Amino acid sequence: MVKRTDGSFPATTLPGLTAAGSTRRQFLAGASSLALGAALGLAGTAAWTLPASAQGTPRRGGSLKIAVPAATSIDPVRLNSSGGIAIVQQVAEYLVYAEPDLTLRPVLATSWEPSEDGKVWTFALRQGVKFHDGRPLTADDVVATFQRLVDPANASPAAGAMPFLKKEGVAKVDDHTVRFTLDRPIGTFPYFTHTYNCVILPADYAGNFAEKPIGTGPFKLVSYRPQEGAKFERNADYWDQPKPYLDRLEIQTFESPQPMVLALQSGDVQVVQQLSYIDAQGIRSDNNITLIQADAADHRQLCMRTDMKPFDDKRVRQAVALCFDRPAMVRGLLGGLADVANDHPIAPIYPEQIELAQRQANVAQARQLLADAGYPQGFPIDLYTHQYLELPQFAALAQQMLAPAGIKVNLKVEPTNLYYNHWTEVSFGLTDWTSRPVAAQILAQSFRGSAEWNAAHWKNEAFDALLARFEAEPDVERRGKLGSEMAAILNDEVPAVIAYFNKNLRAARTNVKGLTGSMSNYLDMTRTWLDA
Amino acid sequence: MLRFFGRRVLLVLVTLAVASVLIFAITNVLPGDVGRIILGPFAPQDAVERLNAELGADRPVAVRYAEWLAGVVRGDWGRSYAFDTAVFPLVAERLGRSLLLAGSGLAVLVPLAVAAGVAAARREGGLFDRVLSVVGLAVGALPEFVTGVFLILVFGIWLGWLPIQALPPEGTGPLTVAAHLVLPVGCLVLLLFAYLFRMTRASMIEALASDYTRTAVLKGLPQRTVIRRHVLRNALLPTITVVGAQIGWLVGGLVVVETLFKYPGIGSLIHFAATNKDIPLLVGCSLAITFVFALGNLAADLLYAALNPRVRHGRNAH
Repeated sequence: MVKRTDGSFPATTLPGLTAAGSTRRQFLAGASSLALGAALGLAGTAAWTLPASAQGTPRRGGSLKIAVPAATSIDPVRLNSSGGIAIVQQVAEYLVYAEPDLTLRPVLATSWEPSEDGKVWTFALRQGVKFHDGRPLTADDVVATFQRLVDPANASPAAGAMPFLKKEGVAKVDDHTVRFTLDRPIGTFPYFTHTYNCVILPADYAGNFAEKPIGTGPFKLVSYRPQEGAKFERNADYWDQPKPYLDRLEIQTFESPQPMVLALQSGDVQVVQQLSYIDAQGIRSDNNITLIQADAADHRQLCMRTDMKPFDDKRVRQAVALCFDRPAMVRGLLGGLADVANDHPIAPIYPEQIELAQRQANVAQARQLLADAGYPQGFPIDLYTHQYLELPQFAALAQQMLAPAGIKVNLKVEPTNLYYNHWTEVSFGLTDWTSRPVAAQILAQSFRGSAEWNAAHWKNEAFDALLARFEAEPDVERRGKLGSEMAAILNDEVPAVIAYFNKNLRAARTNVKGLTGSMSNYLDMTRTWLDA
Repeated sequence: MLRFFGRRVLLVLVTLAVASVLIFAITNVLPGDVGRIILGPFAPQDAVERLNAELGADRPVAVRYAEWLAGVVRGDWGRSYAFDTAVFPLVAERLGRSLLLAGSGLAVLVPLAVAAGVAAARREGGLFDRVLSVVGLAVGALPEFVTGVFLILVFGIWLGWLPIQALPPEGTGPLTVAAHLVLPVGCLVLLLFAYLFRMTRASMIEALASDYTRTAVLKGLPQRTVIRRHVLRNALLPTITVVGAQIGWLVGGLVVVETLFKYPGIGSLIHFAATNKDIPLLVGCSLAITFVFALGNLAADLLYAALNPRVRHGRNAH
């Protein structure tokens, strides 16, 4: 966490990033290293530390208002909106919680142990935890929760996140022990129990969270109104006393980012749960506001259909990847709030160490590859993406950066709902991927040969075999080696250009203490307190 | 008058029926898959299909319309897909809120614009007329997301005089409610003032120059009486029609103002329903707004008729 007193920011406009503007780009490089170095003070450091003020003694009491993006359903089984997730996370809890540095904090589970082969995981549950209606948490609740989530009849997004877990695989050992038997070994299974739908609910939960919001969480839901927000009060019986520190909490949902930022500036809300780099521009110089940054694995995949012309030839895909000046994109699109990526999704935040030479922009080589593949004059192509965050600007930049190689991009920027109707069908599509707590999840969902969201329609048996071993491997170092091999295959085959890993931003008034960022934009308010 | 009234009410009912058919037909061609929108891009395809079947979103539109109509007749407006809550109470609450905002806006706007229009017309080309015409037009040309942000920055953040969120905390008195509504109402007034002002001014000028006004003045009536009984009565007719036509928009179309000032009215609700293909909610909102639209026009027609006997007596007047 860092307080920005320096309001200056590198001038970053798209026209400055045209291929011809190399002098301007050099200027930008200089400007950004200066301004970002001073303003962010952390380029290169792995994680943000809390400022000194936050390390004081937490104070009990007070109430806090938080602005979050729109919420749709708040039924934990089906929810998927940022606002809905933030609301539910105050009321109900996961077995474990992944901290900003991806270490696991025991929450409702106190310990977990894999079997020898990694197929069976046994979780010991915390004793003395009570639901908001006074009933104790037992293994029955945990078993029912996970059976509900993976039951195909309930249509939960969590079922897609855990395809290796079936209803029959969840079993109670005793009142405070639960055993998960997986279809195949998963070395990082505890992280999967941190998927946003996987909050533990009472065994008799009937799908009516809005009317009967019962969890074990630090706050009780007092009222919820669609498109307005939710009010909470402190759970006096919370298992982790003296937490939570706040007496009351209000989460307000906003339909668009600008009013959130205005509300933060006026003090109507004290925290903005997540905001983009563009939205944060207006408050960078505000001394009353702290920006909290978190490393993340969010990224954009520029997918190319490997089963259709012109991208069925590996050389064409490599040529596309060679056209992108990644450091310039990081500066131009995100003001430096991203890490350069290398056409694979294993972000630096993951514990696996990936060793692979970084691909650099090289238009001459791209032209040669296109000529070798039979496209000496390049080709025209439609690029599909949707109106979301910096994706339209990314697409416009792609149009500029691909032009020197002769690839004439025709932009098709669609509304989000429309794009998600056919994003795995288009031959050239730019899609946003959010962080997952483990790298294997993204790899399996986007690049496994049989994956539903393999938008590149890319199949590689060597990769799939490595992925199965990667998923099963509990040892981080060995996973790093397997990961490096997979990254090398993806970097060579380029089913998708992955140019950078985004960072997440969160904003708070300076009197809000003990608030951390999150790679998944999760909102944990147990440790937050207000300075008088 | 009673027959006139009866005819108009019947027309409102027909309008609602036609509108509901149209709305249903349109929702059918909205882009996007309902199940996919609810479960999000990360849900597996079989879950999406299962949900679509569960919601009945995969059945023909005529079947869904018939079911919906049967429900509405029984007072059941269905359940929102996205919010998983009954449509009617949600729509009713939002409609009430929007009516409050629109009503407050009109209560400030109409007297202000009409008075200014009358004053400007009586001294056509004078300083007051010129300044108001130019300033009003300039401000009216600015979109509400510009004037709104400007108002918020000045009065909410720099001066800190007024709350920037229009929704007051629950259980507060009418004074607090009014304070919260000042900025959005100001935004609406800035947006619509020029339109109404120019309308009133133009018809006033026309009426002032007419033969009946000259006759009234020549027969020695005091100026006040001339203005009230002869000029205003005729000059206000177009203004009333315009205000009547604006009511529907003021209630259902304030998406930007509602979003900016975090005032969840029916405008942002219908916008949400449309972008999320929440058909029961979308149809419910549309019906409510159509109803207000029709009522607004009905009220305008009745007022028009009250001021203009030719209308209420139909062709017998000629």
